Amino acid sequence: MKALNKYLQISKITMSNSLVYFWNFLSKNLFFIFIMFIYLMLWKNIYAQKATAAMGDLTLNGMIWYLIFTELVTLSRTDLHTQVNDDVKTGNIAYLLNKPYNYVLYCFSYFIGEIGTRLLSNSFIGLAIGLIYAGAIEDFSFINLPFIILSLLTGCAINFFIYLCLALTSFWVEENSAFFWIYSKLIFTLGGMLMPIDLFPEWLQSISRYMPFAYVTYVPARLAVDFSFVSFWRQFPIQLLYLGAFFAAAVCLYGKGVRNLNVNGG
Amino acid sequence: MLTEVKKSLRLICCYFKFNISSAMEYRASFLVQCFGMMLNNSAFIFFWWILFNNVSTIGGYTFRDEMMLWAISSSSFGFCFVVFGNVGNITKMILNGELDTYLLQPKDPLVNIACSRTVVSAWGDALYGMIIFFLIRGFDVKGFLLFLLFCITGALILASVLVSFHSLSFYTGNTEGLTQLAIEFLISFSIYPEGIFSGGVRFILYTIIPSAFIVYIPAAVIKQFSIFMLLKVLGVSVLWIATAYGMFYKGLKKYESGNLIISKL
Repeated sequence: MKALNKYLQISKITMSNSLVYFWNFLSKNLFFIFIMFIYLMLWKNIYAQKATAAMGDLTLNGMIWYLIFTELVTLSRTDLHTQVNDDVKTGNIAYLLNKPYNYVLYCFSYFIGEIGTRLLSNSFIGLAIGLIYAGAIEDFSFINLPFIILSLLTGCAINFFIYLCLALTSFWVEENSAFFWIYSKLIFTLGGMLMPIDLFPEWLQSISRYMPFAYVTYVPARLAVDFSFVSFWRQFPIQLLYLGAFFAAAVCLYGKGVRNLNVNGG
Repeated sequence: MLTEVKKSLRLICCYFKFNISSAMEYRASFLVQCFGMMLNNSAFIFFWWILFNNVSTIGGYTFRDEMMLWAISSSSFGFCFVVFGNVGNITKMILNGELDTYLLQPKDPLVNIACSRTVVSAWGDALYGMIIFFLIRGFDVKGFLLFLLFCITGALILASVLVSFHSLSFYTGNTEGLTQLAIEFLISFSIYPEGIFSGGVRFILYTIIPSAFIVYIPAAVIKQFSIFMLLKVLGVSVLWIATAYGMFYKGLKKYESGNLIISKL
């Protein structure tokens, strides 16, 4: 319990820190409103052009809410990976080695602190945008909400651990920023952030459904707009599996990286 | 006036050469960032390819038209940050009182500040746009010359909008968030077909967020040449440069030095 308490304190401090920079915090929310407005214009036009009520089994209402949920996951991510990157590159990580905590768990506690405020504020904004732009989610039941939140949080956590793994490659690769760009674009595309993977050609759909990216954004968003216990129980265990795999990968990478670490001077 | 422009152009060329040399010092890093950015941008081809598989036109644009928007916006953004790479740091420099070094040098401070750094990944954006152009238009010399001209005007408008927003920091303190939003608005509007926007949004695209003059009109001129439209883009570019200059130098009168001793290498 005592061990958990220190990580809880890290989360609490991060949470209050993130609220100090209120305007910065707010500007990110403004971007959410703006990008959803563009998506609304785009998809309204596509639905009108196609003259159809549903695409990929989603009506315009469903599509807008789907995109709100995918944006919710991606916009709520923390920028801790840049800090980890800097810590490794500048050698600052040497000062963190002798601290009485596990570095990966420290990062995770930091993430919990930030995601708490970000996800909450973005959820309120997302809810307002959705209600104004598209109206209430069709056939939504509040009984499903805890399961959707669970899937959403797991998606955010998988996203965090993938970013952490990429940041930890800086133990071996000097310039790794390209990895982040490429990963974020994999989320955009194969992760179904910009559109549901149901619109992809069949062969690509089957590939995307096996990739971890879909479990970051597509799965929680699809559950939010089209929930069924069958799909939840089919996809949530895979989310947990990916979460465990990327957590283990982060721990391994950190352990191996620290053994390779060479710090000169002080 | 003309002598000043010549002097500024010479300074831009000198900085450009030095910035290339400094980027090439770390060749592997340069290549990784450059190709990484190109790969990053190409993800959007996939997005539009899927969408255009479902519908033939979006807002009156075909897949090729949309790719032309991408080509112009990507290369304009690339040119802007390759040549004026420091333009994104102006607010920070104003707030920290770091402009002194530039004010003491016998060169135009705004050009001196904006050009003193390059963004390596922007080379990837610039190249990506050109590749897309050749993929959709083939070997079209006249079209490519127009494309290059519009990338230059686009880069100048983009840099001017950024300088104008950053200059607000002279009056209101930190406007970094606002400037970040402005650039996100500019980029996001520029990569979606104009036809999906209507009414008030279109008015914004032709005024405060001038995406129309960075991409929409240039793409239309490359498709179907119009001297009137070309002159319109050139005129708006000059207007934005004048606005940026006016706002920066008016704001500069309010600048307070931070008495920082810094070395500029």
